[in-house]
Amino acid sequence: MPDKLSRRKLARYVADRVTDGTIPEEVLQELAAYLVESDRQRELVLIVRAIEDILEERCIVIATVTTAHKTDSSLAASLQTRINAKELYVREVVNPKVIGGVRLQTPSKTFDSTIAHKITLLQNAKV
Amino acid sequence: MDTLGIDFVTLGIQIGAFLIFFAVIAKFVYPPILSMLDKRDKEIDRAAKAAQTAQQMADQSKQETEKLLKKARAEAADIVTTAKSEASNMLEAAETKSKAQAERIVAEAQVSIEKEIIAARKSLHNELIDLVASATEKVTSKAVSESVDRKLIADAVTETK
Repeated sequence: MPDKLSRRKLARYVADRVTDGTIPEEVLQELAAYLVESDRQRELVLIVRAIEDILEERCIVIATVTTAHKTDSSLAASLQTRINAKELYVREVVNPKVIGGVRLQTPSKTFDSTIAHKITLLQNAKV
Repeated sequence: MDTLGIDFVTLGIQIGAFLIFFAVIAKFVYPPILSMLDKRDKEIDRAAKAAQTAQQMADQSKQETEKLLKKARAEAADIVTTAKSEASNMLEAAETKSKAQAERIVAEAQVSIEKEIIAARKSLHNELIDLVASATEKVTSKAVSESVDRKLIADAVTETK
């Protein structure tokens, strides 16, 4: 039985293949197959996070953007400029509960400028 | 001698009788009487001396009594003075203690009031925050349209680093 690959190594392999220009779907299928074969499906979320971390190190950022209303592509372009990313992939989440503004979550940081967050900060100012 | 009427025989007999009488008295009467008188004199002397001694002792006793009375009066005066002084001190101490206790009570009350004021301020502050947050949420939920939201997002992105 071959030695189990660490999550970090797996993530690095996937990141390398994606940055090399391999079609991401193919790489992900390989990854999925490996995980099923080695019965490591439970580690999927952690591996995905590790992949995102490694890609961020290489200025390829996968971010979750939460807004109250649907946005257009100009937001992604502005965000890419502001966070100095070579490439930015945005997961859009529309959540009316944030009321307004934007929440940007990258693997390494979170920037929350939503109205809901500001109201929460105000409420946290209670003594 | 007949002219004078002196009868020598009778005279002789009378003198003899007188001498016998004198001898009898001197032998049997005067000594007891004299001794009795002596005895009485001695007793009187003794009584006088005893009275004198008693008088002296009474005087001495009186002096001693007076001395004791004087000493007792002086001690009583001391005791009264000491008691007055102690009573005065106790009164002063009680007053000081009461004053200190009253001041402590007042200070504790002030501290308690201040704590209550601080607690009331905190409660008011928190209630105000809740009200403002709730009002803000309600107002902004209605007021933030898509266009307003786009402006907010644009401003937020400008702040992002």
